[in-house]
Amino acid sequence: METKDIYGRLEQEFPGKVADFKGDVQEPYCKVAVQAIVEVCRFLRDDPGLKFEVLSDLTGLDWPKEEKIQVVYHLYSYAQKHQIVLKVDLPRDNPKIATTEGVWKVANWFEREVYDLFGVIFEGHSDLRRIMLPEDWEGHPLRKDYVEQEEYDGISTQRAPLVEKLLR
Amino acid sequence: MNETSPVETGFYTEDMTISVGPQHPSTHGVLRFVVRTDGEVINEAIPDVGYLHRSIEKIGEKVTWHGYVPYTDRADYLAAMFANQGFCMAAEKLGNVEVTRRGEFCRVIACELNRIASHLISVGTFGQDIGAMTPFVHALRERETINNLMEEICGARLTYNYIRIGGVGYDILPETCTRITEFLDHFEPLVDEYNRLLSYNKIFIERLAGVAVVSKEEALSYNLVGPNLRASSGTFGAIYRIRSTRSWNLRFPSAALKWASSVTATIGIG
Repeated sequence: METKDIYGRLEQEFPGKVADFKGDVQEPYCKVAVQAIVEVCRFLRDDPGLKFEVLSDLTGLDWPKEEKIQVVYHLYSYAQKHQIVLKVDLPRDNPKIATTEGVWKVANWFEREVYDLFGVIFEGHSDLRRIMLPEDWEGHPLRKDYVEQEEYDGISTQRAPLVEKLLR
Repeated sequence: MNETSPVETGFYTEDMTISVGPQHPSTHGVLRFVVRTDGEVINEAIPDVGYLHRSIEKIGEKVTWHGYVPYTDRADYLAAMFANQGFCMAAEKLGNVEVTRRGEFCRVIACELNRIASHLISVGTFGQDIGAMTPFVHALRERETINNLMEEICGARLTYNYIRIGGVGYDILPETCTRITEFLDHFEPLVDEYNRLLSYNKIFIERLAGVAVVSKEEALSYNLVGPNLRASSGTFGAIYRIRSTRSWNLRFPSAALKWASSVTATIGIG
């Protein structure tokens, strides 16, 4: 199915909850309201005509100027061989969204990664811990204004530039 | 954690929590498990990943687009060419860069050689992990030839840094082409040998057939790709062909695809 038609189905099923379809890019996407994400995902997975059985990827984007964090869902269907990208805007100071763990199990680790690197809270997640970084790390590195902590467990994270080292 | 539980003999034993890895030989530096055991029975295993996390996404904010290609080599050192390919394809998508036809073919040749090398390691160490030492040596012998060919193509044996945004770093010379064809003629019959040594080996089959079966629904729900999806999903496996199900210019593997979509998402233009 063409991405435009998929968006048409979504608009019909969830009026007012999906918007801003952009089809002239390489991977067409639309925006979904934050409250509706789980039902939209479940509909996309279960509808016999759409059948998005796979969540290929789930990542985040930080937009400091617009004061928002986006969560991006890449969906793919092996049965129908079509794909769509969903984007959800969250406020940057308090990004919270419901978990899609109940729809695709792989969301568990993806969401942990987005929590770890962007600080998005996935409400209802069964095990929301950091996944890449140590549990006691400070801050969320993929935010654009992230400042690295100066030391971790008594080990300095700062390195002098190599040239200075050689000159000494 | 410390509840007592009965085992078959009627004795009561205490659960024990042990950390396995990341320095344990079978996890070789990349993975740690916190396991809860009751005697020899493992009741729970909590994986702890991230030991190889270098945050190359963050590094990517500081280097140029071309300068990022060598970092992708390190994403999977056994399939560096695919990581190159995935990143460059994402960049080409964003910039609407067209790849020359010859460049495209060079990429496919290099990638497919890399795929054979990577599969040889996978098949060889798979045998080794369940106690068959010989096939590993046979596999590495052939991989060595591929490494030589790769060295001829791009000057490196492991971290290739060969593919550029819009094409490749160097052309494949006619002499190299001859040597690649010679290698392929030599290698093709060896596939049967590996099958005889491993795939149809009675011990191998008895130890692995029917172990840890993943259903089709579960495999899709967990977004398994490649051999895992094909092996786990029964008849569905037959219709699953990632290189033909997704529309790339030529044929590309799932790892690169996953990588490409995650890179496009991280940079911000889906």
